[in-house]
Amino acid sequence: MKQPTHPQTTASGDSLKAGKYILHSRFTEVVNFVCDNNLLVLAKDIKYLSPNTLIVENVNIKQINEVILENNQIKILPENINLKIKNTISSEFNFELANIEKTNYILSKLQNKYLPLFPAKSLAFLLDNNRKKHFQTAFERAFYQQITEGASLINNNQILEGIKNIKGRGLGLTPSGDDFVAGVLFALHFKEHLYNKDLSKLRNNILEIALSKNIFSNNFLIFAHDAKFFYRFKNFLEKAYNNPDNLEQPLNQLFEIGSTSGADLLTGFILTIQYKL
Amino acid sequence: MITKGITKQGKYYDSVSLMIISNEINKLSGVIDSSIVMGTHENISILKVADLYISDFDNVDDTDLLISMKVEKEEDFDNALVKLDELFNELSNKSDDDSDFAPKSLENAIKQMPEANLSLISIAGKYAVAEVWKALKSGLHVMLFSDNISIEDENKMKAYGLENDLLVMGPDCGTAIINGVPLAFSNVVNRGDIGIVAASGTGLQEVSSIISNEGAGISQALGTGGRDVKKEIGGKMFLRSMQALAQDNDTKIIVLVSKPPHESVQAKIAAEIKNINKPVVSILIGGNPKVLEEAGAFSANTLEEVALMAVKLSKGEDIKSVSTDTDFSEIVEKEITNKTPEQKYVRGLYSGGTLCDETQLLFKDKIGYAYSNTPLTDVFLMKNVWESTENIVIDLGDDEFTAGRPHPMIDFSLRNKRIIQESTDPQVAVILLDVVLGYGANMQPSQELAPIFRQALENNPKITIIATITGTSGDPQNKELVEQELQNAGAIVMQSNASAAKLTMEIIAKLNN
Repeated sequence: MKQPTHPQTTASGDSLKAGKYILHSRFTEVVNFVCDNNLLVLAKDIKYLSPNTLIVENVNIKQINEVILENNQIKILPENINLKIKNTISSEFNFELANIEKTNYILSKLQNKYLPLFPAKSLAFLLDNNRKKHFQTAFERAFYQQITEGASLINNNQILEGIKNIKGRGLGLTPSGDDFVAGVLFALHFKEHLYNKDLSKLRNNILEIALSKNIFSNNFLIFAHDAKFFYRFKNFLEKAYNNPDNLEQPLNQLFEIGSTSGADLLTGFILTIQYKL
Repeated sequence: MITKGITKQGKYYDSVSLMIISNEINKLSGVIDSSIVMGTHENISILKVADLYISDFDNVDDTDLLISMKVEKEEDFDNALVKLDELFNELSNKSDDDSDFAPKSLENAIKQMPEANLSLISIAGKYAVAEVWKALKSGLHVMLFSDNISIEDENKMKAYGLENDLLVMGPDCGTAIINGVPLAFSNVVNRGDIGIVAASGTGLQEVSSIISNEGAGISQALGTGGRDVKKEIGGKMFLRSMQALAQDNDTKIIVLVSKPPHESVQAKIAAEIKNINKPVVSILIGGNPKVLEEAGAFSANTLEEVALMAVKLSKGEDIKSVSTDTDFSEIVEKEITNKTPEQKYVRGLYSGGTLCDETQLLFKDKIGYAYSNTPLTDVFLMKNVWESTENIVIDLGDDEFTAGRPHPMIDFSLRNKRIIQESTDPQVAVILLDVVLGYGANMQPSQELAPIFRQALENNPKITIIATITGTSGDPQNKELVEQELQNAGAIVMQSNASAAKLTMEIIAKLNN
């Protein structure tokens, strides 16, 4: 079968906002663009799909300086390529898949069987004390200490204080702490469904505290607050609820990109489900 | 000791890159500690606690990159900054390279690099055949990494290659080193005067790595794909590669590595050896070496031995002085003293197919056949590869384990899980495994394996973990570092697969006596 060689979009997130986006940062497979407080991500592989991402094919994403998004079309500059946005993938999760029993079963499996798959430098030390040994430099030790204190505060129902201790902490463009907070926000949606509670006020307060000048984290956190799931996390959850005895492959897919990002998110998710909120 | 730092604006890096760069900086002489992080308010608070904060960071923004170091003296900081620039440049050059060289077709690739004379093809088997033909018709030698190619197609490609003086390495050719350039899975070895022809990927890696570690070097290492020595292909490329090395002025010694060839192919290889006016050292893993010996080749019993023999020849020393008999009695005594009466068996978990075969062969004579998914004899074929019984030696790179997931040399997750699983079996005395380094392989083997070893030893502190590392200190993972970290995690690390297998079987034999 001959593969198409013309530029095209192959998938898109469902929360793209119109605007003239300028280049923010480039990575090997992903390029980020900003317009006001909005972020648009162009990526080569669907594994990077999030509500504000466009997956493109046969486009040299590293040469793009500007993207104009309007009327279900994008114009890529300077090459002046016009592409139709197609194959919009929903970021909504079907909460009907989840019940308390299944959720507890998945969480116990993750903790008892699959922790070795969590990257060494991830926040999974909050699930397993033995992982402290992976944090050896002065920065890492202080990081470990502050995150542990934050999680402890959350566990003692001083949730907002705990979030303050965790958010924004971590090395790169999307700090581990923010991934953790996103996991907390996603988990709150589950708790609302599982226990028929209204936790919207808590979600709003957490978001308010967690927002910063980091446009990446902000977009990420707002999506989590609004229950707009990233493709790889949604994929993991769907597979986990449909086949809770086989979590290895979905976990590996979740952990495949972003260094510790997937594991940090999941750690926040697991702990929040377990906390008595 | 002083703390110094700088900020960089408009630079964005993911945490993996920052972690890698920070690790490199921490290795520099005079650098006591360092941190490279985005300048969020929260990270600043961590820097303060970690005593890595400097007043220059007073007015930074979330999007600034903060670089802070504790160093012995001013000069160490300056040197570290030079290295830092190099590392950041490498990162951005890497990205630039990616965009410059991203041809979407072989035709475009040839246009971009018209002087190229070799193509490496690694796409799904069903699409690969057409690409191989395009490459051959364009006058390119081919290294075909893809598998799932019919033997008929392989035969036609190789016949065309012979007619047109082109090498067709593969299908399923995992490694080669051409003019010092490592291709696919391969190690960073010294250049030298030893040429290798191999119908075995990890066999080639093990032999070339040991040669390099022993201070000799490789002129060319040519892979042929395992099927080349079967009757249907007739050794077309194995023989052509031997001829190429015989004609190569830089090659003084030729090493042949293969699983047992078909009888007719073995006869052709023997005939070719007689035409070669250079020393030939060979290993036919599990095969009868007599025919090649009669043709004038030296033969070895293990991959380690063939490598050491080649090294002796390269250094002009007496080949008879090669000895691979090591006295393991002290280690064996130490390891058996703490075992329970139940602990009798070994679980060999391999990522390299040839290493798996070699281990089974070595075991056979001392502790008997092991169960395997790729057994020496069908009687010992595992009925269920997910369940272990008695002694097993598994090739985790075999199809049943790799469907839908990367090769276990890259993705350790399946084996990690298996190590933990085996460590909970009270009958297990030894967990034996290979760690293959080099390009293409997992870049953080010790970071991934060390916690698994620790967990396994926590599950059962009486288990012995024996690891063999195929690789060199020049590999991106650095053999010595990996070795040290695995030892720190509680493993016994051996210098070759053969010695790891021998130590294992001595422990198992003693426990069963």
